[in-house]
Amino acid sequence: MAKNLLSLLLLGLLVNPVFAATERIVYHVHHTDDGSFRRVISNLENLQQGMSDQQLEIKLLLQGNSIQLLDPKRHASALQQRFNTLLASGIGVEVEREYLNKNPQLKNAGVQLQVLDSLFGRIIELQNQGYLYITP
Amino acid sequence: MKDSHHNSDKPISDELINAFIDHQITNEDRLELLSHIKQDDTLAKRICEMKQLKELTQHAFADIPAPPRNSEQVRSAFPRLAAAIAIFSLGLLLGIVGIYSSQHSPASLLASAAQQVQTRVLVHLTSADPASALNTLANLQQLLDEYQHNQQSVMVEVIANGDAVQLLSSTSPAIAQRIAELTSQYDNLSFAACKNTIDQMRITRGLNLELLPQVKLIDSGVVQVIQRQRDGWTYIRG
Repeated sequence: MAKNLLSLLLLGLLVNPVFAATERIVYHVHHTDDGSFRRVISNLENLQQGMSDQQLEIKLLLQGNSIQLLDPKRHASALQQRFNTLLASGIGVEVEREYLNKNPQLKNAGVQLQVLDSLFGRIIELQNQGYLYITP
Repeated sequence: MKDSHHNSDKPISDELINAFIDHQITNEDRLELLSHIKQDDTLAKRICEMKQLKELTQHAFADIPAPPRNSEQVRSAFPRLAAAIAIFSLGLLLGIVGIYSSQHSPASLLASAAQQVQTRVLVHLTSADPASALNTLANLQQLLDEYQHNQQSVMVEVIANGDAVQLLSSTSPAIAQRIAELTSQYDNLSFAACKNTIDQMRITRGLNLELLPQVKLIDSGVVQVIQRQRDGWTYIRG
């Protein structure tokens, strides 16, 4: 009887989506030096590879001029291809409205963007929703 | 029929007679008993009376309804079924709690409770890049204005260590002016610089930083960052 009860307990636990283990991460970028793009790509690839046993939901928040990381003309084709692969895996990109308006060419860069009025407010909101926060 | 005197070596027991009536007797015993019956009227009468009593008893209880099927089995299974349902429900409940907990870290859960009153935000500066710092200060003002507009309470603390402590000194006039403007406008905004870093800069680089009057000195920036997060503050790198 004890075995049956334990089996029922486990069944009750397993039917819950928590065991699908979705990890939500907000990745905050606020530097625009030459190494930034490479570091961002490497970090995101490492996250996906290192946590491949889990479902990942990553939001890439680009503060200020780091929005220029989205400009394909600034990067070597190999790096850009890796970035495109990351975007295709479902990473969401969010940028500040003020800086998108300063860089209108990025509106047509082929990247679906969420536009923010308050980036810090968005970071707080996501952390309150349980997103883990990381910055390069 | 002969009289009741019989010459049996052993008495005929009621048990034997009942077995004879119920046809649960060996053939040998049956033949012997029939032989006795022929010779003993009293025995024959006794057997008839017992057979009649048995038939009357069976007739009297013929119409009693049968008990409910498996009633005892149902009664004994109910506690186990109730326990199984309770255990399964417990598992579901634990999972629901787990879902909620996975979406809200313990610190943020506590913070959320406090945030019904106040949101507390720690902004951590480590770089001395003025453009990045000015952008961070602009974001801070947006945040403060947003909370003010929504009539929500927020407290923001900016902590600088590493090269960023230079931003909070008189060596960066543009930053100094912005900090003066912001602290005069928002009483829920504060700045702190790491004493360990300042001491280290004096020793290793010969820099004697004069902090802005709006900046307080704390012993260790990283310790403050850890303690604030432990206390449920939201952490942002600026």
